[in-house]
Amino acid sequence: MQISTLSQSLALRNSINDMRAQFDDLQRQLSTGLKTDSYAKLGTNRNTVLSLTHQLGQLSTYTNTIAKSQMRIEVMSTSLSRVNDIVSETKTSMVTSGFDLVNGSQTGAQVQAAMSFDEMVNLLNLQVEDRYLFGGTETQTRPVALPDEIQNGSGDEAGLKQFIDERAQADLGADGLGRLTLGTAGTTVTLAEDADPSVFGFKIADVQSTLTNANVTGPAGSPAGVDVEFTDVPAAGGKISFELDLPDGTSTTVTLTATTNSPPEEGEFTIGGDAATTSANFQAALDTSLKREANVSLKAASAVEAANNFFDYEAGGVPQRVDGPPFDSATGLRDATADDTVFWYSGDLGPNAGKDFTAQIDDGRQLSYGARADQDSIRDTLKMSALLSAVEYNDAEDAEQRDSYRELTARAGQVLNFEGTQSVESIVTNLGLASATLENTQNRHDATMATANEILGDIQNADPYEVGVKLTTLETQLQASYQVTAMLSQLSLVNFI
Amino acid sequence: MSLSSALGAAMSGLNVAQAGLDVTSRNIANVGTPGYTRKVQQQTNMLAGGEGIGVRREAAQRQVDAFLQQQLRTSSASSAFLNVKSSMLGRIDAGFGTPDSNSSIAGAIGSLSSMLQELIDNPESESSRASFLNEADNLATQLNTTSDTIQEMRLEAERNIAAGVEQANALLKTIANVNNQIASRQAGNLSIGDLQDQRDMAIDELSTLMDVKVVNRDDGTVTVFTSGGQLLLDRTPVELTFDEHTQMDPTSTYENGGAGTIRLVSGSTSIDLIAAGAIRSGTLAGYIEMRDEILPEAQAQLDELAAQLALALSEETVESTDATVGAATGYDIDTAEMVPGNTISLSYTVGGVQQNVTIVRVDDPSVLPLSDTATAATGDTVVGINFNQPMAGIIADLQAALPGDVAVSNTSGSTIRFLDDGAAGNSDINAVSATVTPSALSGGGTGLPLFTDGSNGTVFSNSLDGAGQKTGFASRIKVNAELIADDTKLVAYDTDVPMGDTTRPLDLLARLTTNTRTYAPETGIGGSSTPFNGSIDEFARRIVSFQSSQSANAARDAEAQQVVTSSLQDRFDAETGVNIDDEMSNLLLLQNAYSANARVMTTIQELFTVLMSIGR
Repeated sequence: MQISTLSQSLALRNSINDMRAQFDDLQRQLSTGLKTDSYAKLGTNRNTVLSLTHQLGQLSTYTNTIAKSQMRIEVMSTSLSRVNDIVSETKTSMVTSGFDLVNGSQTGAQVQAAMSFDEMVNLLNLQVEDRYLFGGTETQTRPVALPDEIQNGSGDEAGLKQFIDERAQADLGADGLGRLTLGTAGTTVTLAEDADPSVFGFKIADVQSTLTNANVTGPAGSPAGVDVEFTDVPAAGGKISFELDLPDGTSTTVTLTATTNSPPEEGEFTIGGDAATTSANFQAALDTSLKREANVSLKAASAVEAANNFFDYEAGGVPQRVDGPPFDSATGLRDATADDTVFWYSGDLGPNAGKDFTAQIDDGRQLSYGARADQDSIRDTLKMSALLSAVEYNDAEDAEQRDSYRELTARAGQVLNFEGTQSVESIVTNLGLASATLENTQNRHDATMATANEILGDIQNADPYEVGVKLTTLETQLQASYQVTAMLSQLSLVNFI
Repeated sequence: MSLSSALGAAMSGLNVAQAGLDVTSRNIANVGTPGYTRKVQQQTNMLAGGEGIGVRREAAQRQVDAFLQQQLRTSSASSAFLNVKSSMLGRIDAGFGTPDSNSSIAGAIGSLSSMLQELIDNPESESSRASFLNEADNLATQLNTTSDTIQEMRLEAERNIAAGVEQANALLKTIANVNNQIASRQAGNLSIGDLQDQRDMAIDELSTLMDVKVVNRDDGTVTVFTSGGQLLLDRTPVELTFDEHTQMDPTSTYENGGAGTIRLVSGSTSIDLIAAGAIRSGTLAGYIEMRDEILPEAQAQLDELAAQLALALSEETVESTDATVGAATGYDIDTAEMVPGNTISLSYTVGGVQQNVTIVRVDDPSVLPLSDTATAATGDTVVGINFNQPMAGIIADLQAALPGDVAVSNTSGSTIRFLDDGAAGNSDINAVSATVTPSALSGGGTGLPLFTDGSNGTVFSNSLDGAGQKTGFASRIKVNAELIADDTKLVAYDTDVPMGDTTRPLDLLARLTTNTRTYAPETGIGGSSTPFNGSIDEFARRIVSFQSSQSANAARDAEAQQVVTSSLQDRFDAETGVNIDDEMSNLLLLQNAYSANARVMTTIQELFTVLMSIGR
C-alpha cells in the first residue's frame, strides 16, 4: 500500500506534538510537584481527594479550636489554683494569728485577706484575647467590680462596708439588745422580739429552765416572747438558757445561772431577798448578757449576713439592702438597684456555670468547660476575703471585740470548708479533665491527619524520580523521532534522479 | 500499415505522455494540499476499424474509497460532537480550581464551616463575625459566578449554533454549485476529479457540523440528507434558520422558547430539526446538548445546593398543640408564619393505613395541582393549597384533598385544626407540624436566614409559585444585608443574649455539617426513589465529583473517538493522497515514454529521408 507524502508528514507531526504535550505535562509535574491540575484528571481518586481534603480542613479547624480552648483552660486553671491557695492561706492565717491589731484596726489575717481579695479580683478579671474568662458568656463585660468599689462603694452606690454598717444597725437595734425588748410586770420578766415579721436581730428559738420557783412560758405570741415569772426566790445553781437564732442561720445561747454572790459574775444573776428583787436582778443581768452577746455573735453573724446580702444573688436577683433609713428599726430587706449599690458581679448568672464555653472538637463531639466568678466556692472565697478585710476593730484588749472577731473567723473558716458545695479544687480538677480530653482528641486528630496527608500525598504528589525517568525516556524518544524526520526528508527519490 | 500510421501512433504516444506529465506535475504541486486526491491519467488503446492506431488519452480520474469516506465523515462528526462537550465540560471542571487549592464550591462550604467554628470559639470578636460573613459572601459569590458562567456558556453555545447554521447554509450552497458544474462536465467527458475534491471538502466540513448522509447519483451529483432522513440538498439546497436568543438565564429553556431552535425551510414547509431529533452528532448537536441538557443540569445542581443551603440554615419547625373536641382528638397548627413554599407535615391513619401528607403553601393557583415529586422526600403525598384566599377557602381546599375521616377546621385566626373521627375509630391523626422560614434575624429560633434571594432581602422559602423560586437561585443568592448591617445577630438569636453565647453558632454548624437533608433527584444526583440524602457539604462534594467525572468521561470519549477518526483519516489520506516517490517513478516512466515516442518519430523521419532519396 502506498502512503501519501502528506499523511506521512502529518502523522509524524502529530506524534511529535503528542510527545511535546507529554513533555510539557511532565515539566509541570516537576515544577508544581503535583500529578494533575484538575479534578477531572484525578480519575476515580477524585472522591477520595474531595473527602480527605474536607476532612483535613475540618481537622485543622478542630485543632485550632482545641489549641484555643487549651490556652483558656490553662489560664483559668492557673488562676483558680491560685484562688485555691488563697483559700488555704486564709484558713491557716485565721487559725494561727491571734487578735493583734497590726495596724491599729485589723489583725494580720485581715490584712492578708485584704491583699488576697485584691489579688482574687484581678485573677477573676483576667482576659485572654480580649475576652473575660470568668464571666461566662458575658465575655465583654468585666465580671467582678474593682476591689475598692466593692468595699467602699462608688459615688452614690453603696459598697460592702456600708452594707455591713446598715445591717449592724438593723440587727443590733438602737439599744444594742439585738432587736429584743426586755420588760417587767410585777415579778414577771418578759423578753420579746421587737417586731413581727422582721428579719433582723435575735430570734428567740427556745428557752430551757431549771430555775425553781419560776414559771417560764414561751416562746409564744407575735412578736414571739418569753415570760419568766418568779413566784419565789429560785435555788442557787438553777439555770435558764435562751436559744437565739442569728441572722446568718447560726444560733447562740444566753445562759443565766442563779447565784447568791453579789455582785454576780458574768452569766449569773443574784438571788434577791424576794421574788421582786430577784426578778429585777434577773432583768439587769439578762440585759447585760444580751448586750454582750449582741456585740459578739450577733455582730459577727450580722456582718456575715450583710456579706451574703451583698454577694449572693442569682439570675434575675439583686443584692438585698436594709429597708431604711432608719435602719435600727427596719424590719425587712429591699432590692438594691444599680443606682444605689455596687453590683460586684456583672457576668452571666445563668444556670450552666462550669459549662459556659462549648468547643466543637470533633465531628459531632462538643466539650463544655469553664468556671465563673459566681460559682459558689469561688464567690464564697471572694466574699470571705472581702468580709474579713472590711471589718475593723479598735481595741485589741477589748474582750467583746476579740470574741466577736473569733465568731467572725470561725464562720469564715466554716464557709471555706465548702461543705455541700463544689470546692475550688474540684473546679480546677474539672478543668484539668477537660484539658486531658482535649489533648486526647488532639492526639487522635494528629494521627488521622498524618494518615490523610499521606494518602493525599500518594494521590496528588508527583514522584520527582518517576517524572525524571519519564522525562528522560521521552527525551530519547523525541530525539529519535527528530532524527528519523531528518533522515526521511533526505530519503526521497527526488534526491536520486 | 504505413509509416504515416506509425507516425500517428508516435504522436498519440507523445500526447498521452504530455498529458501524464501534466497530471503528475499537478499531483506533485498539490502534495501538501489538504483534501487533494491523487489523479491518475487513464489511457486506452486507440482503435480504428479493428486496427490499433495509437493510444488514447482518457480524462484523469481520482481513486476514492466511498465507503471509507462515509465512515470517516461519521467518525469526524462524532469527534466534533465529543470535542465540544469535552471542551465545555473541561471549563466547568477548571472552574473548580486545582485539587490542592481546595477552591471548589465544596471547598467554599468547608471554609464556611471552619469560619463558623472560629465564630464558636470567639463569638464576641468582631473580626470572627466579619470573617464568617466574608466567607459566606465568598460562597454566595462563587455560586453566583459559577451560575453566571454556566449561563454564559449556554449563550456561547447558542451563538455557536447560530454560526454553525450559517456555515451549513453556505456549505450547502457550495455543494449545490459544484454539483451543477460536475453534472455538465461529466456530460462532456471532462475531468471532474478536482471538482469532486472541492465538493468532498465542503461535505466533510458539513459533516463536522452535523451528521449527514450523502447519496451519489449517476450524473455525478450528490444528494445530502441528515442522518434522520431530512433532505438537505437535492438539486437546490434547503435553507436552515435559527432564531438566536441574545439573552439567556436559568429560566430560559428550549421547551419554553427561551432558547433558539433550528428550522429547515423548504418552500412553504418548515421543520423543527431539534424537536425532530434530526441532528444527532457534530458540533451543532454538541452545542445543543450542552445548552439544553448538560448545562441546565449543572445549573439545577447549583440551584439545589443554594436552596438547601439557605433552607438548612433558616428553617424552623412549628409544633402543633393537642386538640380534643368531644371524642375526636387531633392537633392544632398555627399557620401564621407560613409563606409560599413552607409546608405542613400531616400524618394520619385511615382504615389502618398510614398516610404522610405534605401540604405546601402556594399563592399562585396556576401551578396547582402539585405532583408528589414537588418535594424530594419519598413516601409522602404532596398537596398544594392556595393560601392566597380567605381561611374558609383554604379549609375547603384542604378538606377536599383529605379523606372525610380527617376533619379540617379553622379554630381562630390562622390556626388550622385536624381531627380524627372520634368514636367511630376509623381514623387517627398521628402528628402535625409545620416547617417555616422566618425572615426575622432574632426571636424566631436559633436558625438564621443567612442567605436571601437577591439583595433586597427576600427570604428564600422555596416557593413553587411561577417558575419556582429555586430556579436560578444560585445566581441570585446573597448574604442577608440586614445581617451585614448588624453582625451581632450571628450570636444574638433573641434579646438579652450575651455576645459570648454560642448557642446560635453551634446550631448553625450542626445545620450546615451534621443535619442531613434530601435533595431533589432532578439534579441527576440520586434517583427519584432513593434521593441523595446527606449534609450540605456532602452534597457540594458530590456536585464537584459529578461534574469533574462528567468532564473526565467526555474528555476520554473525545480522545478515544479522536483516535478512531485519526486512523480513518490516515488510511483515507494514505490511499488518496500524493506520494512523491510514486510520482517520481511515474515521471521516469513518462519521460521514457516521451523519449521513446520521440525516438520513433526521429526514426520515421530518417526512414522518410531514405525513402525520399531513392528517386534522386
